[in-house]
Amino acid sequence: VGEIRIVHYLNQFFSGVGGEEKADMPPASQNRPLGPGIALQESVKGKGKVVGTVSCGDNYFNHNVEKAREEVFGLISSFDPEIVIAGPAFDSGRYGLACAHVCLTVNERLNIPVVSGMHPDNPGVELCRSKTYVAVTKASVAGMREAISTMATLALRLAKGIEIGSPEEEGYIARGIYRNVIVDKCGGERAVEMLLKKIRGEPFTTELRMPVLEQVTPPPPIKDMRNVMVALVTEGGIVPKGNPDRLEWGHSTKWLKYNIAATDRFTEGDFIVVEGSSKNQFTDADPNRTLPLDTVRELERAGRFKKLSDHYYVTVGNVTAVENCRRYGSEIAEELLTLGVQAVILTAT
Amino acid sequence: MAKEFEKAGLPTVIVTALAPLAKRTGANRIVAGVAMSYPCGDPFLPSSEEGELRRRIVETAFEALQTPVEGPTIFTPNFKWSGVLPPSHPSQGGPGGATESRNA
Repeated sequence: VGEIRIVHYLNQFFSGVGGEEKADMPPASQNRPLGPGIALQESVKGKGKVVGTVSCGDNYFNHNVEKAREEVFGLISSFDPEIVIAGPAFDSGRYGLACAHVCLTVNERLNIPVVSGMHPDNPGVELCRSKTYVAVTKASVAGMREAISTMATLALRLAKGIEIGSPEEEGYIARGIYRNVIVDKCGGERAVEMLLKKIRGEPFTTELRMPVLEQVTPPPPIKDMRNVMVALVTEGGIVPKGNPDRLEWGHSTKWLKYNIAATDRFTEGDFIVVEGSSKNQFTDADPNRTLPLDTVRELERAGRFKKLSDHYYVTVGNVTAVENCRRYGSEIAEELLTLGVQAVILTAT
Repeated sequence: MAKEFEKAGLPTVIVTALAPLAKRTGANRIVAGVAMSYPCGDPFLPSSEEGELRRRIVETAFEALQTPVEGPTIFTPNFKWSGVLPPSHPSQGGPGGATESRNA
């Protein structure tokens, strides 16, 4: 009595059902700790109790995300939890994504502390770290003990309403939140001190970490352009006169496509530029300056490549959230692949 | 967006005046364009010269699509631009603020 009710989420492997061959296992639950949950129970002894374990196969979860989210959430909420802990997933991508979805769902609907644990390279991290705490773990299961301990400490502190310190102190992945703190020295002094340390080759800690951006392996080059269908894409906001679909000048929320199968070039007056980071007089006068339809058509006619896709694709990148751009990119890519497009020329302003 | 296209397996070339920024964000095939608001043109050139400039940019884009790269790589077209900066953007006339013709 008085112990905080904890529900633990695990995949098929850590809940003891089986390995890859059981990865299609639908969600299930048990009213006791399993696998890493036993260490978790040990770690929260006297303060919390693992009242249930919900598990699901990683493939089942990732192949039916919406369905799995609902099913897993149903099982979790049936235990009436006060804390939900997911994983740790270490560097396992599918497991990490499942943990992230579980944490996001519980966070949205129950407003109780949720904590997962992952290696910083796990793709699940990006999905949930801005909304929920992700304890930093090693890449492999060898880091289980520390991971469980960090996750349990974080979760108990959150449940008791104790303020959480910095990511470095508490061992979680930075959520991208800046907090005001009072310090002795002004920014200029601190910056000069850091610079001097840097010049002397001494260690220093930056106060503004640059974002670590995901690297993508470049696809192999095109062997022979003559067999290739090309698509033109721009984030420079070229739209038909009157902007019929009301593409925003900035903070865009959508991408659009317009048929250019019978268009040889963007002519002044027929197409306009709504991108709002600069004056568009020069691109309104000749939108090909932003998206070179005229030149690309010439090359198409000369047989330099097989065909230009029937539509061009457009959004506005100006002060648009990276997350939106990602979505536009993956949605447009899906359409291009369906159409048989094999190469993209993207222009950015 | 370039990265999402590449993730889907589509070789993609991004043409932008902000090539160093594109490089830092991890786009892999980058062509350095003319100016921020018009990467593929130069309103201060006579139209025949502007046409040639645009052809060279598009040719470089084609070249980039056919070149194997290991990671973010900038391809610089060999074009001659007017050197005139758009009035609203005093500092954004081409990568590195170059004012002469640039070579690949």
